[in-house]
Amino acid sequence: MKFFQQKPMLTQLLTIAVFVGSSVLFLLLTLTAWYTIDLPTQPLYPDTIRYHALISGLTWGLSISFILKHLLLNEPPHLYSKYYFALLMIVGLYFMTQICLLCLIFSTDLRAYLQPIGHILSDFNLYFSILTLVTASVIILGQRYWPAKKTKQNTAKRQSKHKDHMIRLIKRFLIWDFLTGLGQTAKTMFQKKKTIQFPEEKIPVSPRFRGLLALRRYPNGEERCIACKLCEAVCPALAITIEAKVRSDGSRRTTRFDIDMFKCINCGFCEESCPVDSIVVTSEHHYVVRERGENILTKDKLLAIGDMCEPKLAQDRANDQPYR
Amino acid sequence: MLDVMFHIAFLVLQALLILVPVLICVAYYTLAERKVAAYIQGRVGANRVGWRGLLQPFADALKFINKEYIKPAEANSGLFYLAPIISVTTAIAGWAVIPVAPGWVAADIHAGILYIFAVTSLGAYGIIIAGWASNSKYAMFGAMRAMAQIISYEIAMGFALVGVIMLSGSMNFSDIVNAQAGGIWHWYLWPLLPLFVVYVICGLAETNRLPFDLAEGEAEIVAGYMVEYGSIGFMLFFLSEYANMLLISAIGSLLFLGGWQSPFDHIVFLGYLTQWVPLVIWFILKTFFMAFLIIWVRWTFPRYRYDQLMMMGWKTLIPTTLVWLPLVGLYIKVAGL
Repeated sequence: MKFFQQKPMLTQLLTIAVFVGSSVLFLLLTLTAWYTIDLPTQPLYPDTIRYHALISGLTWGLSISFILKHLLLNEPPHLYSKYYFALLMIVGLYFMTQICLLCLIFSTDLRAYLQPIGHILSDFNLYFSILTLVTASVIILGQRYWPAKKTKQNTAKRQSKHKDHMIRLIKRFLIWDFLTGLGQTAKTMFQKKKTIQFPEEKIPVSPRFRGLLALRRYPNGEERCIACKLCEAVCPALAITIEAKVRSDGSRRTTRFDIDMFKCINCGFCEESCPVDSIVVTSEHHYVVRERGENILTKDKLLAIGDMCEPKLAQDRANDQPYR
Repeated sequence: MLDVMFHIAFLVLQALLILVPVLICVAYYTLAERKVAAYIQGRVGANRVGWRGLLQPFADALKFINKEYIKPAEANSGLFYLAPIISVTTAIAGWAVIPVAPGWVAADIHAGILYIFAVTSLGAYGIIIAGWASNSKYAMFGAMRAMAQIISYEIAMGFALVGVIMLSGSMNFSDIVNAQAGGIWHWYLWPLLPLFVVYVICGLAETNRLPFDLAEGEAEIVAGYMVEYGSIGFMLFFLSEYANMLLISAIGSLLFLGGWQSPFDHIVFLGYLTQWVPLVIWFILKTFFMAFLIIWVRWTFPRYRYDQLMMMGWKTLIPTTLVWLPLVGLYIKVAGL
């Protein structure tokens, strides 16, 4: 659209070429149609035939090039006047008879159907073709010399009176809205599917995702937690319970470290408060509680989760490092 | 005696020859519905059971059979058990007169269209008995809606079929299809285009499909007349609904789309190119197209309001057919058919 709007010369040339081409094509087709109707009751007058063929060719050429031009430039022709609709009806009638006439050439079956009304058809076609040529010229010239009045009130009034009403009637009769709806769903049918096949595929998870809790160890295997109970204090859901004692080597360690997963709200405050980076939130979030009591994560379980998630945790931190 | 036995065996075989393909088609139609729905919504759909989910319908059926059959304490037990049986029987009985290819028909009766009409109308009894016997207000409402809808749309549908009967001069399906011989131009779709549209719309309404599924209306009345059914009862209702949809598609393809006639007959080049295709393939293709259309419509449009539904039936569809039928008569008179 934009391409053609920027190059009016090219569009003009293209339109003219299409006009000439389709004119000649339909001239020949109409001639053929005339010679195909072998009507014993109606003698063929060569002059009439030639004029008719010429007029049909011109009409088709004008119409096709007109539509093409407006399509290429993406500016719909204005049809605000109700008289245009009367004119358009003539055009429609003409094209209907013309299509019937052309069917005579292509389908031997339809020939049998249309043969009885062949002479009425061809007569109508002849008269309508003259009318249509005039009409088409009026419409095409009208686009230039009688442009649509663009005052707001005027157009609004006219639209509500004629255009909208007519168009709505036509659309309702052709169940246009239904067809566009079906077209929309037909289009979406061929779109790329958005499904993620869960166990095989997973949704990408942010490195800052706050999932399952875990307790970490030092590389030498010693647990990090020093039982300072900061996490227990900061936990807004009171999900953490800690009891501590002095271990045989004199260091302060936890004897009990329980987290109730049902209470935990995954806020991550415990990780932030931890002075030794012991309690952490991992990005693991596919877990399930099968039995009552399994929701309590004991110290052993938390350490095990920490051991399991250590490589993933390191990776997540490395990924997140540039943004910290 | 042996004669009678042989005859009965033949009848049973004939019935099985219709039943088994229809039931398989129905099973896969449910899968097709799920797949098309998924595709329209940008999903993949059932794909876990079997290759690409092809065994899904059987998994569903097994699940239904395994479930407990629950009857509400206040339900009318005889009618409660009878309703799904009536529904499914009538839905499948209609297939007896459907010809799938020249001569391939169980009962080539003269008044095929009348028979179909009678049988599909009987199907409504299944619905209303289910609604009554469940002794539940939702079921009752659903059944009442379904009845009102089926009665009002049956008129328009009857008129739509009258057009076909007028053009073909016969009520036998095989005769109607034979009258449409000779390529796509000879199908009754073209002279009867408005009636075809009316037929499709009425078909949707008759089978209680969206956009006319007020009888089921999940939002207001949960599942309408089947709300109290579970297990096999629900499965039978489900089966009868889908069998009815397929039946509507098959009738549509027979009456308007030329049944088993090839669309390319008598057309210059394509006619020779497609001569080798077995006739039954055309029928199947057309029926599947119609069936696809029904699914497609379901997943495109929202549900109609009840008064809109009635207005459309009485004030749009019936007048359309009433205008078109005299025109068809004139056409027959002028063309001298």
